[in-house]
Amino acid sequence: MKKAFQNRNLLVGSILVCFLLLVTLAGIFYTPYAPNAIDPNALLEGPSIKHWGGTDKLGRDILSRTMVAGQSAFLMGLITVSSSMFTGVFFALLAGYFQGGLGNLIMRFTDAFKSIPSLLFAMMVAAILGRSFASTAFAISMILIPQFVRMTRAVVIKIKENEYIQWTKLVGLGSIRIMFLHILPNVMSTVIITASLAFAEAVLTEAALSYLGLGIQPPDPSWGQMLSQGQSALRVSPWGVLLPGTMITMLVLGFNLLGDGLSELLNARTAKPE
Amino acid sequence: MKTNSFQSTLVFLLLVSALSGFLTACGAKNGQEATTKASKIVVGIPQDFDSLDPHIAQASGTEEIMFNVFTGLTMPSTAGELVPALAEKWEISADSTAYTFYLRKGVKFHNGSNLSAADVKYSYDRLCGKIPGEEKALKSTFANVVKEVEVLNDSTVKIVLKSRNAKFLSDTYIGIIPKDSGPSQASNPVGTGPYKFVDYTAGVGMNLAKFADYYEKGLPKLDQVEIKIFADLNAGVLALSNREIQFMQIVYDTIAQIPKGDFVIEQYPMNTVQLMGINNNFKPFQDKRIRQALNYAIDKQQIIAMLAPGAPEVDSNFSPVMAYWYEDLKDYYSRDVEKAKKLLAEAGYPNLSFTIKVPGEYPIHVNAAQIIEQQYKDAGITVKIQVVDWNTWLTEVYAGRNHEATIIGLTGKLDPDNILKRFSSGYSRNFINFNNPRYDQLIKDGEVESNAAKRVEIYKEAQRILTEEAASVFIMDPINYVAVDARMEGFKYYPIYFIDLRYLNYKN
Repeated sequence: MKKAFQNRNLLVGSILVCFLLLVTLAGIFYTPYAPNAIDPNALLEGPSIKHWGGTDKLGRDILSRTMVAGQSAFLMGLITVSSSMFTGVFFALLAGYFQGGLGNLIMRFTDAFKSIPSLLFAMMVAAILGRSFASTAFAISMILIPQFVRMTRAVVIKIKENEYIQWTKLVGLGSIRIMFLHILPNVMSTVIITASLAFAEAVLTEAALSYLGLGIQPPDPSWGQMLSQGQSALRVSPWGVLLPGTMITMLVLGFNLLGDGLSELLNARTAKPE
Repeated sequence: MKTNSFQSTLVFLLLVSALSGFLTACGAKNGQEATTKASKIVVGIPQDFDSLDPHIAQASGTEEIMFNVFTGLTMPSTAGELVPALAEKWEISADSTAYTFYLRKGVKFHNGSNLSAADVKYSYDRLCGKIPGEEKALKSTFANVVKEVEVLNDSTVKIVLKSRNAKFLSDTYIGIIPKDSGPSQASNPVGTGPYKFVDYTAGVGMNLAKFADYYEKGLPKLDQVEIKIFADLNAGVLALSNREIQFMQIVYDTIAQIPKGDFVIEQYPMNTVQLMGINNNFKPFQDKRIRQALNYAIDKQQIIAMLAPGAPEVDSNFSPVMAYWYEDLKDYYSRDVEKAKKLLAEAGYPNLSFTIKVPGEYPIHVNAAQIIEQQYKDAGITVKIQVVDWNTWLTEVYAGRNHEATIIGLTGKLDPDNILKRFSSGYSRNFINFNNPRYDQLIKDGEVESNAAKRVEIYKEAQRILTEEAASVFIMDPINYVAVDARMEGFKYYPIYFIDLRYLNYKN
């Protein structure tokens, strides 16, 4: 525990993430204004007592919208990271345990998929399935799977060589049981680190897609969409992009630091995979 | 190692911001160099050319530039009337089925040959698909209208129509090309316009040069024109503020970003109607009371104030810019939320809910949708917004009519028939599925009526029907904003898509 507090990455990362989580959770119960309420008498206003974060070009309160947008960012991160984690780790266990035929097949598929530019893939999904939260979540989950497979598989291969695993084979335990009861618990640290980094990537990809108009659909706010709307009025009201931009930066930085910190803490004994 | 990765992240962030600052500074410097050439103008346009061949191109965005390369028998004036161009004058036969055009003398094509009646015949035969090897030409409407083209003498040509057609004349602005030049027009356009074609790179732009033998002496003023394509409006606005371009159409949101003093913002009504097109076949919208409720529940003035201040409000699919044909129905529906609620309750839909499909490429429509969503809330109407891309919109909404409601702008034309025919039941792109027998009859009558005053009455009644039947929710005629270099003069605007480069020049 003491070690955890000494780790600066971990400390700063968790503070950032906790702060954002708090702001976002607060938005569920209270926002200064209704996030989609327009006000023709308050277009593109700067920060004031009434509107702490200023207003956008339809007179909507930027602070309220930023808070609500955080909910969809966290939700998107949570859904995509957990779904890609389950799929990714499952395939990684198979690929690592059954090196050779099945393992190779999975890895070549992963490599092939990884070679498709992620944003391009997400745009393709949006074109086919339409623009919605669900299609964006699906696209981002798919994008995140390869890194779970690669990172986890490397560790699985290493652990498989350990004597206690060799021993479970000797006593005749089934493959499924070995994989899920004896290998899985030992790769969890890698999975958690990867998940933390993947969370940052998920939020960033969602912001990029919303910036291009493909992610969260109006009138519901998202940080990327607020950035692209604020951009056209950048010179008159720079605060329009300030709040959502800061949130994205803080969240991505936070989760990256958290991931780094965790990996230093958890992998202190073993070398980092890859 | 522990502290290093934290520090390196910070260093990386600092480097990125320093680099972006450096790049921005470079951009500004390059821009200033570009402005020193005096007799050249760089025009920014938002989309690529669909074809260089004047008889194939369909997009207004292509026409507005190519008007400077091609000239037709007639051309529009700034007031929207037809004025002589290659034809000095014309006569219409007593039964209104034959038009005799007397060509201007001494007009030259860009390739040096003289304009003659044979070129006009070739051009119109080509438009009708009568030229062997080029049958699948082109602007298909001509084939249904024109019977034959006769060359009376070298400078007189007679166009005979299949039947009386009141709007034929307004289509004669289409470019005349030299005889037998059809196949090469798409790669090397040759016309009689003030500027001749130099080169074109798809996705990048086009270069035009002054045509010394243009038939109007003293025009055009500038020696060179460069057309640059900016698919992303923000990139175009950046180019404007760096003074890389001297002329570009912009939107209201971006005005504040254009450096004051360097540019003048010209504004004028677009002769376009922004409407929330409602699918008259969608179950609730089959009831006229609901369509009226939608009209009562909207606050057009608020939309205008937020998206295009100063734009005229409209109540049917017609812009007040076309004053001659315009039927003033202002305030036929003024905002009355209680009345809207009452109408909805009467029709059995007190909690009406529907989806608006809106093309994401047009911020003005997406923003209008978000404002309408809030306004309709007051009347208990729930609106869902679905943003689609432009191609999806064209196939699903415009061609497929698969929507409940949509927000779009319909561009104005010179003749009211082209504007109002869109809602006749037989029209292939009647995307709101409006179906009114009296309206259809009026459109048919208007097409053949040769008495001008009677024709105006016909189209005014058609506008009244659109409003009274609440065919859709007609919002406004948005304002066109054009940024023009403050050192320039001679900008003229038209009620149709036409960037007239002839008079533009640098002030002395």
